Amino acid sequence: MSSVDLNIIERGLKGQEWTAEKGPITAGDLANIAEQRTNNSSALNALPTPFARFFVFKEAFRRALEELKDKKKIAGDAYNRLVSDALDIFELLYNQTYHASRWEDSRKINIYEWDYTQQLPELKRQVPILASAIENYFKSDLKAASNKLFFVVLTENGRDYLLATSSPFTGFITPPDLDKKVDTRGKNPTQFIGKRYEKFPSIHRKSGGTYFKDIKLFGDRDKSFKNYMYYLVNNDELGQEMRELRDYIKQFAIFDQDIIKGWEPSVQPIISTDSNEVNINGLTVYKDNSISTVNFFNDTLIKLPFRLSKEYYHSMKYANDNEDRDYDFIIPISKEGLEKVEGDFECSCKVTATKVIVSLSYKGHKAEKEYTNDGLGSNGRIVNLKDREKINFNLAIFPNILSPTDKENNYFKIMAVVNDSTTDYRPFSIDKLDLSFYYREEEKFKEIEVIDTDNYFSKFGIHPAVIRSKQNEGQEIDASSKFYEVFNTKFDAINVRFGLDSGETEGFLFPKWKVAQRTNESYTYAIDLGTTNTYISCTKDSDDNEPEQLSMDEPMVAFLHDVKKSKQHPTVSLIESAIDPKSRKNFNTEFIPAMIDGHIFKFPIRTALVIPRNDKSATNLFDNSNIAFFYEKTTGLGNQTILTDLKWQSSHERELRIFIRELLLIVKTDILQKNGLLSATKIIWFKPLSFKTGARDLYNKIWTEEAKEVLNIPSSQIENISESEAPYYYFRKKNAFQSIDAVSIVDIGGGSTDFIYFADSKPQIANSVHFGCDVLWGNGFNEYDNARDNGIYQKYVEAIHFDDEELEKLNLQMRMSPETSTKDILNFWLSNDDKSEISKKLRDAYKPLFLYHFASIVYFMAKMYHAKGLECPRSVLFCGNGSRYIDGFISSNTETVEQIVTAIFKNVYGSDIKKVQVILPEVRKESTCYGGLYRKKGVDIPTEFNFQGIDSTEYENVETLKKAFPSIRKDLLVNFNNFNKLYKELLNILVRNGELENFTATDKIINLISSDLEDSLTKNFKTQVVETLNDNEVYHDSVFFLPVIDNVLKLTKI
Amino acid sequence: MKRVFVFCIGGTGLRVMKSITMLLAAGMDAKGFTIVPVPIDPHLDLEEKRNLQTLLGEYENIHNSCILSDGQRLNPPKGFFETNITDLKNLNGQQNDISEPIAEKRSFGQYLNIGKLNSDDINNFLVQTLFSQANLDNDLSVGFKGSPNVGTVVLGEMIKGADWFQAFCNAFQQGDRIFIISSIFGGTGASGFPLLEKKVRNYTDNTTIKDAMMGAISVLPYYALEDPGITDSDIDSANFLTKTKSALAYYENSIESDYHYYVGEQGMKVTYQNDEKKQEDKAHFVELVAASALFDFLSKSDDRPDTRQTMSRSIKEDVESLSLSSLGDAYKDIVKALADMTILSRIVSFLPEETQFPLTKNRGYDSDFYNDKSFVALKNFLERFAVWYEELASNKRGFAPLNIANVKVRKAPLSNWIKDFSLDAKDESYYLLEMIRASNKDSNPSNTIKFRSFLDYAYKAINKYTGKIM
Repeated sequence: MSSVDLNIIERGLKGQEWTAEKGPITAGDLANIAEQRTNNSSALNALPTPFARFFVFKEAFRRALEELKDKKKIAGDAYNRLVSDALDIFELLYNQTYHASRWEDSRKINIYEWDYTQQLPELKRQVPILASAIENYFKSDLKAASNKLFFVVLTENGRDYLLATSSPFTGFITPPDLDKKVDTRGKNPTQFIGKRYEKFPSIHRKSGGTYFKDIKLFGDRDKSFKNYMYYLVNNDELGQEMRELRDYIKQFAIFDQDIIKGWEPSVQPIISTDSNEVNINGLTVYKDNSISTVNFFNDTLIKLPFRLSKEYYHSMKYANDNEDRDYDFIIPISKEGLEKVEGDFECSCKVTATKVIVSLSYKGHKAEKEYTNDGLGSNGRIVNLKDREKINFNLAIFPNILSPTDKENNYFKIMAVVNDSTTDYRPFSIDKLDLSFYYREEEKFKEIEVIDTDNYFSKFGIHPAVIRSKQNEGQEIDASSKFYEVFNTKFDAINVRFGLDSGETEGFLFPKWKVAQRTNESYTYAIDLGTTNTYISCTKDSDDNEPEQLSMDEPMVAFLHDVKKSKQHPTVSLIESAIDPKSRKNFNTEFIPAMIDGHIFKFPIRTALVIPRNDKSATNLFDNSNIAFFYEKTTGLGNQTILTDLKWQSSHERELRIFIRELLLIVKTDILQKNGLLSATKIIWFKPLSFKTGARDLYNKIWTEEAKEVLNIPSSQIENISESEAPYYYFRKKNAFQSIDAVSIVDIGGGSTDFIYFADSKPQIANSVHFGCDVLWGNGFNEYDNARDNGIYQKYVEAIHFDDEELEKLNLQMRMSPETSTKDILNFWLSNDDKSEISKKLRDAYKPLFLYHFASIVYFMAKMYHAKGLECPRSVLFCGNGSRYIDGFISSNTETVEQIVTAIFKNVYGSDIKKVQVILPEVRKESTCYGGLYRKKGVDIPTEFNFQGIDSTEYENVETLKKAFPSIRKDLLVNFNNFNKLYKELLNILVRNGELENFTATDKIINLISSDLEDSLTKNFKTQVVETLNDNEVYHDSVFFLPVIDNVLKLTKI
Repeated sequence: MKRVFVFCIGGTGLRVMKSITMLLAAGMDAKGFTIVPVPIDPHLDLEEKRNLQTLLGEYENIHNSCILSDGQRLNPPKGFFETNITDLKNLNGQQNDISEPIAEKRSFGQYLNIGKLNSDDINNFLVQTLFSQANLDNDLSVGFKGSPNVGTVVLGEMIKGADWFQAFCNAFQQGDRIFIISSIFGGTGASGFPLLEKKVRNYTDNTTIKDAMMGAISVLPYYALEDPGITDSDIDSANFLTKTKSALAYYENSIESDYHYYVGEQGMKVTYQNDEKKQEDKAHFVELVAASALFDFLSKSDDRPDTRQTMSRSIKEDVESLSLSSLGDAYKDIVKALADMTILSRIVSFLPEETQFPLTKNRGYDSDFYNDKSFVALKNFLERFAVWYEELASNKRGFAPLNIANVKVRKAPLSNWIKDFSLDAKDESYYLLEMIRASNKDSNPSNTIKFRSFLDYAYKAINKYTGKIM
């Protein structure tokens, strides 16, 4: 029997005496020592040196290599953990760029330098015992190059965690407190020994698993890292003291096919906080600088409850996609990833029952990430925006079309709307939604700067976002909205970021722009901004076709959601109905319609602007104000109010400008959709004859500036003409007049009526009075918005109701609102005549009223032309939207109207005159715009004649008028006496022609309009002229209508 | 007289020193060296430490009882308690216990005064690299809890300028030797050994010390501890081998002793209670073998070897309870010593009752003699020895080469006192007769000291029979 060595290893000693026969226990002998299996690394500081841990790591690598060579020689978990931890440090630093892009700003890695020469005196001063030990052992045991150590420190929320210290033997060692507690039962998660690491965050490796927690030996690491480490250690400068690390890594090169000899690194040195490269005894530590470090994907994948619009947004390519898919994912490319992407790229995804695999490929690169509902491990998390987060989200871009000329892509408005549908506690608000924008230049995406005080003069950028509405049930606001404005650049990507309770989540939207073709076709737009309605007509300059009101074939707004087109339903309806109901009203009332389709949204529109209620801050288009396309169609949001008297109130300059800007933006979109040449566009706008000089100048300024801003056209391409003369050119073009010797154009608008007399196609005189059809719906000279004197209003206010819930709500809202006038309410009823049937009611009950209004206009006109010595017109053309009451409520029979008009002219001119042709064109108000398009430049301008109803005398200013007023009053009373008699005849014409049946109120009406005429004239002259105007001002109106207005109000009450 | 300064570091150092003391008491040949034990352990309340001090004190008393006479110092008789054991205090003529400052009451962190570092001081990272928080929190009064990296710092500081080290330096003379006993798998010993080596070899003030013959025994793992999961201890014996392997790898290039002895146990390990405060572990064969390394070292010539000699030894057979045959012949000296001592113990136990023993009159071994403090001390020591042997015999692996007959059975056959070896002395009378013969032959005037003569005669009597084993 052989001897048994009294040793931990059997070396086969021959005798039993003390002997030096076998010599020291060598590394080879140690390999034969079978250890007890332990996972406990808590007591590995086995060496009698303060630097024991450095040697233990060295030994760990030696053991790991040994096991690699002979599987029977198991290194044991305690050593494997150390090897894994040391490799983790190398990998963490190698992938530092990759990680940094995924970490919050609160987490970062710093490399601090510890210099023996500098620090030892400090240690001696503060902790002399330790310093003494360091002094005794540092140089002899460590032999660290330059007597320097590097500390790798992770800082998380201001707290430092030492991850590793450089080691001349193994590159790095981890601190003992980062060793792991052993859970012998294997039930608990891995915990660190040291309390200082209790809150140490879980840091996931790029290659999977968690740094410093699980054991991952070299062979299990990813290819790139393996090649990097092989590159590091396959270095002649590496000292013999690192042989354990070197040999361990190099051993893999023998059999691991991942390791490629001659692998070319794409790395850059890691730099310490002292700005030195981290070089450990000849081993320079690097970080990966290759594309693989790029964090191409976000940690979350946002799921939308609808498909992205195929027309307006790029979506991911779905593997095995089918028609039933009713969702889409916001593309989860990270910001860093987007900035790396070059050239064409494709994002695709494969959806399985448990996960979504997203991949991105471009220029031969491919990146992939998996997302699951729980997002455990290295997987990303799917954020189900609607079902789980209870958030409805949509976004719209206006315009959705680009000009081929870059500088013309100077304005884009983006509206984002969110609704948090949680009931009790609403964790999400619009503040937590952020958009940022990117443009593409030379195939690379670059973020567009938000303009602030630091870069105020930037030539392009994004204005700071504006929150317009906040979800507030009390104010009847169901969703929140936010606006972004990108100026002087287009954009190619939108980063959408939600600050959800479950964490930040973001992704990218890639707009699919329509791009206008470059042509030489130009267009002229005539825009008639009326008191009540606004018209836009256009004509292609090269065509001679009949002009049309602006309407579009394609949407001008790019919503996120997809719409399945249907021939049965208008596109606008399909687009709107697909918006989440809670968000729909924000889009409808705070933004521009999806398109001006000529049906649901069409010109003319009401001249009305949505402005913020109780907000005195400056109005900005879409940020807080916009054209109220919804006006009279639906209610607005609780934070809105409607401004309808834009045209005449000088105090509404800002609002007027916004209104015009939005019109011009629509025009711009229309031109681009038609592939028109934006720079060749001409704009015609119209001014009422009654505009004072100040108002005219103001309008001129606004139109010129806004057209320059929006369309970038010079003032030479902007023309303004009189509202009243324009229709003549249109009807002349249409050859509508019996004779062109003497033609009168009467433009009855909401606020005013304009007259122009043409003789031989040349305008002679023009006149405008502040007496439009609104007088019919108003309250006389009671200027309060909440005045409710109007008889028509009083007669029907209780009777008119709507079956349509929204309209009825609006009806009640308007009635209740002190800011809404009877004029607004009656116009609302008229706008919804098919439901209110107000026209029929008016036709049945108020013909005398309308006749009185009409007759007073025609009588005034006849007296005026007569006073100026003009020949009685052969044709009178009534245009203007206000004129619709003539054929609408007085008589649809033009012959009857001609009888009335002729009777009036005969009353003034004598019975010799021929029958006057009355033209009531089908195209009524549009004729102004259309006529504007046909008016040639340079034609004569009519002389403005300011007629007070008596003779040709014109009064220089109010002062002279005041002096003449007693005389004027006297003559006018005579005229009114005459007119009232004439009116009685006119009533009889209606009776004769069957327009008034069983009419017995003639005398009553005559008495009514004949009473108090003098008082009315006197009082109204005082309030409307003397008290309103300065003596030196010109009175552009006519005192003739002062008592007429009172009479109109009286007649509303018959 | 040449001295060997035996530095006993840590718990294992104390335990091996106990074995050395027992062997010396039993007459193991120290080649004329005076043994100067220097226990080094920061444990304040380790009973084992106190027990060793007591044991050494009793040994010295017994030894001195043999050699001191009327102010004269005589040569010791060969055999039992022959070797002089002294301490630094005696060598330096000091009264105070100079080993006391080696103990420390604070935690390691407090000891280092780590709290003085500002929280943003970069040196904190160095501290965190070198020591775990548990290291820093460790109470030094219970040792280094298996952390030699901590022990190195503490002991390094304790050695630096310590009274005892200075006393050692003062006492050290040409021809003196140094022997260091420590374990490799623990904290105190593992750290103290290389530290002390380094200290000696780097001692520039006295080349006698720097160039001294130095030996060391590193005790490798030979026992296990209860699962720390049960006892809540910081020490996990499952790591002993792991730590030992690390240490051995480090030692491979750093040992500076001329003779470096290793001893350990491969397989058969006893499990001890895992409580640093109660290291009452039974004496173990490996400690005995470690103790034997000192005697081997002392047997070496004064010429230092050119290269470090790494010494190890074996046993003949892998058995649970070792006897002479399974130990192998090389262990005869130890077996003989233990046999001698146990036979002495038997003699001492029955002789006071033996009225017919001629030396009662001739040499005055009367009741006064048996009640004298020297004899009582011997009795007490022998009782400790008996316990120690019993521990060795019953431990795992057991060292039980003797058949110790019941002392109450006077007629018990004693020829098989040593297993696997037949003694000619068939019973007690053989030894008593040989004591009488030794007395009769004795003309040494020094043996007028009764106690000295008693041990001399007893050893000669016993050696007559047991000496045949060699």
